[in-house]
Amino acid sequence: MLTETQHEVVKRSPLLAKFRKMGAVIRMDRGWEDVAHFTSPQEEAATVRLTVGLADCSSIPKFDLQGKDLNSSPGLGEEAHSWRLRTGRYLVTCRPPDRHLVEGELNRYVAAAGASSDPAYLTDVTSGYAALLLAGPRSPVVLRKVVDLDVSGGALPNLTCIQTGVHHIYSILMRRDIQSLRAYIILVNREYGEWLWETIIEAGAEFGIRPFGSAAHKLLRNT
Amino acid sequence: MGTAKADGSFSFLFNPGLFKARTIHAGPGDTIAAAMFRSGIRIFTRSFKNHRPRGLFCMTGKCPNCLMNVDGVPNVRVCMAQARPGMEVKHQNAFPLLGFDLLAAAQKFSWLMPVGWYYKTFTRRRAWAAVEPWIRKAAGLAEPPPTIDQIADRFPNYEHVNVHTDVAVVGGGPAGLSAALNAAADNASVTLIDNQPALGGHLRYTPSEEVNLAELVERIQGQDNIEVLSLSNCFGLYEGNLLGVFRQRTTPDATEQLIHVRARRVIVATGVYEAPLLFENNDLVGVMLSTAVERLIGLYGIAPGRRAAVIGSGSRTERIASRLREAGIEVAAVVSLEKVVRATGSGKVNGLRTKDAYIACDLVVVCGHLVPDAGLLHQAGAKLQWDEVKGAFLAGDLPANVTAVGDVVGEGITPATVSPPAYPDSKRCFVCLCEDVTSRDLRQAVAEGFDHIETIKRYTTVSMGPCQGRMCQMSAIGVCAAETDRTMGETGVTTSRPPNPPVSLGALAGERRLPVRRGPLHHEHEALNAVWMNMGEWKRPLYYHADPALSRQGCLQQEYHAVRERVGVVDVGPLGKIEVKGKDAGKLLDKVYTHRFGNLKVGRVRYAVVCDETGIILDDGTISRLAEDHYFLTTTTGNLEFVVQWLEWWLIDTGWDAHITNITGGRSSINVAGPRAREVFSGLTDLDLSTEAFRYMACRQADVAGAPAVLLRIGFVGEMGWEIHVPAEYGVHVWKAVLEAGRPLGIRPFGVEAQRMLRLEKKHVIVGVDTDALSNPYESDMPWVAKLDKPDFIGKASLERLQSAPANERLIGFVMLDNRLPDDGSAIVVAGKPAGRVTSARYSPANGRAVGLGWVAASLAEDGREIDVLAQGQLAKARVQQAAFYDPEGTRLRM
Repeated sequence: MLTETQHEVVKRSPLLAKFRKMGAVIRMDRGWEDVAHFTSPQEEAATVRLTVGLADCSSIPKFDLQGKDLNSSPGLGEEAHSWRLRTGRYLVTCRPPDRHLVEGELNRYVAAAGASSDPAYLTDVTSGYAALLLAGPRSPVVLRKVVDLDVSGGALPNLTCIQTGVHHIYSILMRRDIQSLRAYIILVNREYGEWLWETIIEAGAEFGIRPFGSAAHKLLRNT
Repeated sequence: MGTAKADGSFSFLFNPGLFKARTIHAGPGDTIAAAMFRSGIRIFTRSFKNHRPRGLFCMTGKCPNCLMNVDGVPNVRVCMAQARPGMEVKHQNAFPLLGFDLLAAAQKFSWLMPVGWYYKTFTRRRAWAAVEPWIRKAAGLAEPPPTIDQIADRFPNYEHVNVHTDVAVVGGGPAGLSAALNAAADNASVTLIDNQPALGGHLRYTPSEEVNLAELVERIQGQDNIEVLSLSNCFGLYEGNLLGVFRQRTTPDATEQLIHVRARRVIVATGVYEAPLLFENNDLVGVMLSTAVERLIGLYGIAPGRRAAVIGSGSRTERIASRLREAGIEVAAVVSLEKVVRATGSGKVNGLRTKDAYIACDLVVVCGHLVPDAGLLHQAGAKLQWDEVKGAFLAGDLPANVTAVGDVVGEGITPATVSPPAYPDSKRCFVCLCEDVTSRDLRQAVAEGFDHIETIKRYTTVSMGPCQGRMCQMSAIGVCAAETDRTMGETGVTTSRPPNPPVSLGALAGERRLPVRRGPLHHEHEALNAVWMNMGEWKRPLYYHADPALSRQGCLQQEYHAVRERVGVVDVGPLGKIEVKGKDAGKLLDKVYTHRFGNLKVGRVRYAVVCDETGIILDDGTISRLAEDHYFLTTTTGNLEFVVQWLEWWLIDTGWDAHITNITGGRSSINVAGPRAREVFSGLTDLDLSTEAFRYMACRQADVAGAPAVLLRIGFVGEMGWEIHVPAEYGVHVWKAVLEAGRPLGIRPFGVEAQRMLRLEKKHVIVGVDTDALSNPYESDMPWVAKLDKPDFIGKASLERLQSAPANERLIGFVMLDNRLPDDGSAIVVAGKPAGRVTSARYSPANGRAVGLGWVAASLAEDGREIDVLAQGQLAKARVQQAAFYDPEGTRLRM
């Protein structure tokens, strides 16, 4: 059990309290309390490969990049991905270990833009969104129960996103496959995080959906 | 009870009413009706008006004769619903028993109830009001469950599903299967919608030498790009090729689904259904359509009778007679409709009287009209035209991307009778089984001038019952045509509208899971015994039941005194929070808000009001300037989305460099307030919090307990305090740190109710509670928010006019002169006449009596005036007070 002193700064996902009640094994990762696993990482990964699993990835860095004439992504390295939300607006995400690198690049980009006639503005919105990772071959079928739009392969190719409603709650749905495994990241305003988790778990019950932690996620990435 | 046996058989309960529930044994694949029929049950329901006994008739989910209550859900068509172990089935339109229904006495008085009788009889409003509840009770409308929670453990869950497909094929018969395979061969994704538990349509119970069903089904199952939705009724075809599909539960634990199928192309292969013929007593139990008989024999291995008379002619009738014989049923006679006089029997059929003879039998099989199931095509915009050769209305002029194949376009149909068919003039010849409308009723309606099929429908209610015209439309058109000397084609059809077949309201409503917004501190509040209130979708602590020995009022008093005397902390996370960045951000705020913000100094906070073009207050909050091009806005909880859209709306086409980001969910926000608030922070931040360094209405960015924070020195509750906004992931950490630091000082969390008491003492207005859709800043006692010397802003012109115009109403403060507390919304009375309303009232510990805010006519708003307020059912004296009820000079805020 983690203990917290006054000066030990701990970051928590909107779902952490729920995960504690579920008996998840929690560890510290770059200042975040993070779910390592719920049961066995191997079993969790196997379920995801076979059917579908759900994980919390709210700690992934997210940056809102806006500029009046921002019509192309800022050309970041492989560490980051720019999701185009509309003309003049991108959401940039990266893996937590690359946060400082990507934030530095973005700040340099914004500084350079600021000197031009087309300034750009950066807001760290990591805190603003709860992010859930829905992965596995049955993930599109689970999504059919909560999303109106077509998220099948052709309609939403890998590394593209749509803005849609999950039961009418605004969300950004990103297709981000793990190797060849179908996977989606769903962003909703943070305060809906716990509700979204419960909603997707309920929708996926008939397909044997299972929560998984970062250890299983790592196994999936590396195989 | 209800446990499945090794051979797959199981049992369920049929509750007949007064007596003990009867156990019904069922086999795998049985519908409820099939299992009950096999158990010897013949009467399944009573008719709507006359309470005539009714038995299985169509077995295809079209007629109303098997509507029953299943596990508390009314109006289930048990001929289509799959039997499940342990379910409980009840009748729903008989008293006390299905077999002995006292309400059947209604038949004796049917002469009192001619067609349209309620239109003619209850012309006085009072008369209708008096009898309507009795008619409602006697009529065959099922009772809904008293509350959904009473049957929550048995009640189906519902959900909505979205399916996107290239081709949707409706109908799982041979034509639908072939169409699906053809589409799949072109690499299209195909969704095959079938209302049966297995594919094959009529081939499942009518073997064919021409089509190998097993092979067809195997090919379908072998196609990865074909998705089969079985037990799924397509109830509507809407604009844009959107199909509404209602899917039954496939397992006891499964949900009932409303499936939105969006298809690039729709192929309708719904085939035909059989509709009854008209003769006297054509509704007796034991009179069945040939389809029902074939299904009972072919699907469930049930012989529907021992000795049968078959009505019809032609090859189809011969085939049916042959099928009956194969099933061991004696075929006593095959007679054409023209020769039939009546079916005989009391309740159940015991014979058929023809013009030539009397035939004793326990089963009358009707080879009725074959009607193309073209409802979806009609909804799609197709025109239905009468085809004399086929004896059917066929769909033509199909819209683009909708096609029809198979029997639904008339393939293989021959007329069952001449057109229009013959019928007797009888009050026992039922055209509409749902509403007990007879051929005599229709004749009378035409005689009264209702000679159009649409007006007949509305006057007699024919085709308006649960079958939605499927059983009665052909007969009704026939009677109308004959009575008006028109052809079937000239008479035409009524409009087909979705949903058809009916859909449960539960399925339309969908999941019972409403969105819930939980702030970062939700579980911390839970651990502190928060009593919750719903504020929109937000869960907010109303107060904390910290001491179980204390009442609600006791808890509130403790929270109040902690803030006034020591220090308290409240979660203000649901407050709207917006960032506006850009070199033109100030310009945008100057345009949208009534105050001036372009000149706000960095590090300062200003109260902010948004008005619309007419000067009405829309929202309020604070605006802090964090940097030259960076503003931080707060809004009321309920108006956040509106304010974001309002800002974006007024930004459009300005060309200004301003960017709006809603960061509400991304910040955990608390307000620490009270005379000892400064001490709480002394160990948590390096900031100089002294009065001189961090003045009232100032803001700073600094670390608090190691977390990056924005601190605003503001005071909604009227005490020295700081509103702290940190990234949400640090919320729990900072909350715990504040509580720990404040423990020696007696810190206490307080909820929304204490906050409302505290703010009311300061006369701080809540927009939307103390103001409404007509409130402007002048009447709301805040004229200082309108900076009319600004060049322009939204609402300026109106506010200039309002400034000089006499006010109609005023928002006043009042102090109650006795101990009574008025409710929010209570009336304010002057000289015995209504003069206004209370918007907020709470007991004020600082004043020792209740205080409040309210609206009165402007002429009654002078300070010190006595008014009457309705409190606890009686008028009580109160005095108008324009100054704040607590610390009117605001010295405590500036400490």
